[in-house]
Order: sequence, then C-alpha cells, then structure tokens
Amino acid sequence: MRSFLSRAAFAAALVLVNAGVASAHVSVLTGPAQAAKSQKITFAIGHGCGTSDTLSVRIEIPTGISSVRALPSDFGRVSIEGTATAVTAVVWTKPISEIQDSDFSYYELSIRARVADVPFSKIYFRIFQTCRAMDGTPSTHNWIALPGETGDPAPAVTVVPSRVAGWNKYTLTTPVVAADLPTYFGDAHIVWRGAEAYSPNANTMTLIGGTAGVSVLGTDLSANQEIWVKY
Amino acid sequence: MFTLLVGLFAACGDNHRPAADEADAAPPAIDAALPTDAPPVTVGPCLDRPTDLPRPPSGALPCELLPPGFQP
Repeated sequence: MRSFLSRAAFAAALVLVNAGVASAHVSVLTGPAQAAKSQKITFAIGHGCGTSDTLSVRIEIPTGISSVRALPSDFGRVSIEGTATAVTAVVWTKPISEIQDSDFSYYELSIRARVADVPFSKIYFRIFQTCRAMDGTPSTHNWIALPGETGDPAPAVTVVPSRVAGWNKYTLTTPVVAADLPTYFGDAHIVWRGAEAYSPNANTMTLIGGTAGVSVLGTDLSANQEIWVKY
Repeated sequence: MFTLLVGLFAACGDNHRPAADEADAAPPAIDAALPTDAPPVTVGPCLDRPTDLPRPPSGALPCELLPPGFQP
C-alpha cells in the first residue's frame, strides 16, 4: 500500500512538474482579442530569470495596438514610454526592497488597449524581463523572437472578429489556412462555409459527419468568402 | 393602519383577477397543435422554423447549429 501511495505521489508530482514546465513562459492570459474593440490584455509572467525574482518587465506596444492604458499590478509602479496619445512601451518596476530571495513568484500584468480591425491575425508583443538576485546580481530574459526566429518567443494576441452571441455572418478580408481554424474559431460553436462545417467540439464534428448533405470544412478559407459562425 | 390593510387587500385582489384578453390568449391543447395532415419534418435552421417542436437526438446536426437559410 505504501509503495502504491509513493508511486501515486510520484506520478502526481510529475504531473505538477510538467504543468509547471508547460506554463513556464511569458504568455497572453486573456485569450483571443476582438478586432476593433478596446479590451484588457493580460500577460502572465510565469517565472523569473534562472533563480532570480523579476524586478521589472517592459512590454513594447506593437503596431495595431493603440489607446493603451496600463493597469497597476503587484509591481506597483507603472511608467509609460512615448506620449499620452502614442504609447510605445509600458514598464512595470518593483521596489528593490520587495525582491524575493528566490524565483517562486508568478505575476500578471495588464493593459487596456484598442486592437486594430485586423481579424484572423496575430499581434506580437516584445517583452523584456529584468531580474535581480538577492546579492544584487542583475540578469535579463527577453521574449522577443517572432515566428521563424530563434530565441524565446514573443507572446502573441490572436485577433478574432468582433461578434455577438448567436449567428454571425462574415465576409473574409484575409485568407485563413485550415490549420488555423482551431486558433481563430476555438470558442465558436460551429463555422459554416456553404455546406461545409467545422467545430472545435469533437462531438459536434461527429454530428457534422453524420449529417446528410454536409461535409467537414477542412480546406483553407479564401478572402472574400462568406462564412457563418455561431458563438 | 386600517386604510393600509384595505389597500393591500384591494391590490392583491387585482393581481388575481384574470383579464379577458389573457383568457383568450391561453395556449391551445397539444392535440390541436399537431395537425394530422402535416408535411413530413425536413432538416432546416431553427431560425427558419421558429414554431417547430424540439426533435430527439438523431446523430445529425440539430437545427440550432444550422445557419440561417441553410438547405442541405
């Protein structure tokens, strides 16, 4: 019995460790953003630099993001780079007296901003993380690599069309490859192009396959095509 | 106090008095809503068939998930 419990505890610990590794990066916590709307975007700072706690985080504001306002955080102090009408970066800096003696903290940093009307695209944020060990040794961790570049990946906001609950009819202004359907329609009930349908829900996909006259939507969507989406 | 009680009694009485138009708007019996000569049920969007009764699971997409104007 004791052996079984030990194995169970080990397996549980392994799951926890793996979960920690999976979330141990800087990411966008708030999920997809709706195009042409102001909304809150929250970044998750999963860890510091090595064994050092995070001292400050600087987030560059990319093209497509405007009307930026920074929310206070556990870091307390927020400073803005740029002007009131054109913010180019937001920096959160923690008082040195509040530095932890090791890297065991998780932080969330938020801005309120307007996302441009660019549905079915991704907007990348370059993030610069500065840490400080208890002995004063500084270190950095930059999350600035775009797709195809080497280094730690810059977190991205996935931009989806603005919608209302229920049926929405869209005429695509940009192509959407089939592989990105789960990315851009991950929170939809169902997507239709003519008599082809896609759903992120496996049970609904089974029903699509069982409906006469309906086929699975599995090819790229082209610009100017009309689709119906139910949210 | 007496005036208050009388007022409350009168108000409650008003709430329970059925209006003539409410009685006229009572739903018809279930049998009356099921004409025997109705055409066979065809698949279509719910928005295009707002008076249909819910259908049992059939293994096919329910009408709620068919877009407006859809025809297989």
